[in-house]
Amino acid sequence: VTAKTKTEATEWSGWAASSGLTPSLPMPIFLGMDLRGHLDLLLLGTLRQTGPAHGYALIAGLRERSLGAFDLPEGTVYPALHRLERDGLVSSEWDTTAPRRRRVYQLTPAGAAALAAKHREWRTFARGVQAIVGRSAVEGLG
Amino acid sequence: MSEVDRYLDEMFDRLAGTGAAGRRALAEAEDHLRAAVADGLARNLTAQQAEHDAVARFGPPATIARQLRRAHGGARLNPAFSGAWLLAGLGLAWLGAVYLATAASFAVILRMHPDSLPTCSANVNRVCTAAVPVMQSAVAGLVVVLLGGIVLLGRRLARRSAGLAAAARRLPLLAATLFTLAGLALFAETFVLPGVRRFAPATAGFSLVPQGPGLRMTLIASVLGMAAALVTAAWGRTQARRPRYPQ
Repeated sequence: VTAKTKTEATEWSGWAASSGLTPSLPMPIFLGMDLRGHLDLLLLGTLRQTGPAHGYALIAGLRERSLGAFDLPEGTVYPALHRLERDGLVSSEWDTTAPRRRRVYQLTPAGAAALAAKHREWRTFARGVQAIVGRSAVEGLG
Repeated sequence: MSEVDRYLDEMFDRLAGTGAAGRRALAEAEDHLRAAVADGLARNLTAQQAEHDAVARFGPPATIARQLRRAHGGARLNPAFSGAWLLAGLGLAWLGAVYLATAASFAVILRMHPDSLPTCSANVNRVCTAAVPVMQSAVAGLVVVLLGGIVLLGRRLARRSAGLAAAARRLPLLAATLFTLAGLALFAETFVLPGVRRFAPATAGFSLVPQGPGLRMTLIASVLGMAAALVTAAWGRTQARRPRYPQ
């Protein structure tokens, strides 16, 4: 854990306390795991499922598709989207047909390829974890 | 002012200098927050509660702004660097003003009492009249003020186009403290420690009075230091009065 992460964690916890947030919201963490490393995969995956979407709809889609498990601090999604766009994995444009001007994001071909690669990495990782944790759980039962 | 507006104002401050990327992020944040408030109202929340929930779920503006700066590659130019840059520019402007004020002061005396100032009798091989050190001080002042202006202008350009962060909100307080300390030290040099000269200013050796290391200049530097402290303190007070989120 870096000092920067600690600083941000302190900010989040202070913010949560002052804002009356529930403890489940202060950091992009799920069951003790820091989700930030997986945020790109989650966003790219959600964009593939939803199609072109603006930030608010994307966050709602992420929350719904994870059955509420990934309830991220919503503002953190925009820096991630900007970074993905800088890297050419998503593209965006203003949608002026809505009552309010909105930035709509969509997956690029490079983003689709990156998503496939990340998906493979994730499956390998999940299989490895399952192989160890699953076996330990079985041994523990025995 | 609504809670959402206060939040957006705070974010605007935090994103200062990020140009088009910051403007876009701010527009997205506003759209997001307005949509979240509308959803809250649709769930029968009060307007106040809907706004509070919307900004609470969005996250602290400082963190979001820092992540946005990082996403756009501006993280290296952080507020501490920006503050040091600003202090350097202010310091140079102050020093230049000291030289110019000293030159102006002696120019007035020279005009009123042409024989009251010494000539540079030590420099027998050079043309040296009382006007020469006055001119030297004026030229030095102009050069240093120009340098300070270049430093401050460069910082402004960096803020606009290179993603330089805004200085910390406490910077005016730090500047006021530094100017106060400088003013007190120079005052002590002039009146309290006339024989010690431990804190001889940069003017030492640049005598405008007989056998003295620029006492008038030291006094002017002290007075201008105090004046600069008052100005920066007033600036800090103005900054502190601006509404912030959360309050």
